[in-house]
Amino acid sequence: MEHVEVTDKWLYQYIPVLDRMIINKLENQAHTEYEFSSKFRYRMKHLINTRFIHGSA
Amino acid sequence: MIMDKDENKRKFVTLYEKYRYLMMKVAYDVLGDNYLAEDAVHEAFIKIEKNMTKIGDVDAQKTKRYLITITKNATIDIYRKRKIQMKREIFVDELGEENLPLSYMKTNSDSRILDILKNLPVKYRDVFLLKYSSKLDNNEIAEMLNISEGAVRQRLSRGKVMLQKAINDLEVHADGTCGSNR
Repeated sequence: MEHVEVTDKWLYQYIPVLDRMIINKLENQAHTEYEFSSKFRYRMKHLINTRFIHGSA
Repeated sequence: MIMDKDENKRKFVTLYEKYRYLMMKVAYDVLGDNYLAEDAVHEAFIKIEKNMTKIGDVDAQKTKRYLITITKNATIDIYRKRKIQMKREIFVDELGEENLPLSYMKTNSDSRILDILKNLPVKYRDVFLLKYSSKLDNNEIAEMLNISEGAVRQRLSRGKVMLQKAINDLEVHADGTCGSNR
């Protein structure tokens, strides 16, 4: 096996691969059939409809 | 970056529609309760709304990592509130106990190196992901993880030492294995 020096250049090459694998795994395991509660949907609707009219955005 | 409110709203709604299930998974895996996890996701979206200028391409890996990190922070806050006696720092490992599928890596050595990176303690791995994948500056990482820049530098430094040692051990083992086959 070729000797590996853990340098910034090496990490910029490998860590994004790890990140992609982690995110892919999470996305694959997410329960897309989950039904959010009415309370949650109301709060999100309120957030969307109020913050982007009067808010900081 | 200047965006009008309509553009921000469209982007926010897209984030919500695309990633609420992913964020729910991150929160639920720690909290184990749908309603608490929904609270965490809602809190995360409040934080995201305040930081829309930090979000570029909705589909980018950097955006996904940002959403995961914000959700982990919101989850930790709720976990702390429920367990107020816990004063120590808490880390969320989004990988859980399972192993990642590594079969599509090009070579065995690539797979083994990815295993080493994956097994870095989450305290260090989170900083590495934000630094070397999301390409954030140390001050941005510090702000996102609610730690000092000194702590970011320390985790990067210690993490590199741990990685180098693990890789050196792997090299010794690999060379020994090759030698025994001769």
